[in-house]
Amino acid sequence: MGELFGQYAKVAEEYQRQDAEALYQYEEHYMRLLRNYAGEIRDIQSMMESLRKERENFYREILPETERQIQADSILSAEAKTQWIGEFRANMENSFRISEELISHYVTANQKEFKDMLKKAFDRV
Amino acid sequence: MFNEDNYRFCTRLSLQIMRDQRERICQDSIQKDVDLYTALHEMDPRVRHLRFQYYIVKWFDGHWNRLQYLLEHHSEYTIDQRKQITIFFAKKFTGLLDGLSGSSIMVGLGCPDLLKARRDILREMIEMTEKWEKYNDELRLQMKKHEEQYKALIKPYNDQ
Repeated sequence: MGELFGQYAKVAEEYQRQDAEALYQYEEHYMRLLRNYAGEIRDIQSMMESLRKERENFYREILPETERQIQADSILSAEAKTQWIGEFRANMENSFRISEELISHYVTANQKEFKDMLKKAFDRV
Repeated sequence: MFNEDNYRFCTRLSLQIMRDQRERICQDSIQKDVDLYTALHEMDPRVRHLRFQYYIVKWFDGHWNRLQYLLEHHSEYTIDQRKQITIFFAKKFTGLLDGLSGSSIMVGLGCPDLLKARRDILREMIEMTEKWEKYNDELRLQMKKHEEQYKALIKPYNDQ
């Protein structure tokens, strides 16, 4: 066993200290970056949560309420009812899709910025 | 230059516009908007189709009008921010337009050039960013023109 791991014991002591120092600095930069981006992380969470709740509310409350109102109107033709419910849902979904894309691109932009900052910090260590 | 702060600003404002317009269509559905319910109560399928189109086009254009409203009511936005958000939103608006084009309600348009006209102006605006104000005016004019055309198409049936 000693032979198997022997090569790892040959790292000079001064390098080990430098590595530990580097790791410490890297972690320090990482934590500082995380603190700086805390607001952004909270914002993204809030955007995602808000959109999820809005979509849930649409399918749980608004769409059934609209269907109930329309179905209760005996003057309306079945064709008109079906046509509007389909359009209403399709347009809402189209809009939700664009909002999801907006958040997704925002997350990607933030990730890239975070990685770039981390790389800069890492290069300095 | 499209910096990170502008990206955040554009994303947040665009999300707000999308949310406002979703709220609009939900309110119209539940609170029985007159144009929407006139379409629903129309017995003639061809006229109903036209009335639904009028309502949806008006709601769709409302996204762009909402952007104009927000820009007009925020004098603190710099000219650069106005340019950035207009071009940024033009791209999202094009995506929304693509989704709308596939809708069954947009088949047999009352204004046949409507989708192409919107798409052409948006493309010009995105490609020639320095002329964003010119294309913004053109788009608003196009919207106004189509609204008037729809009103003219619907008017004979309102009078019956």
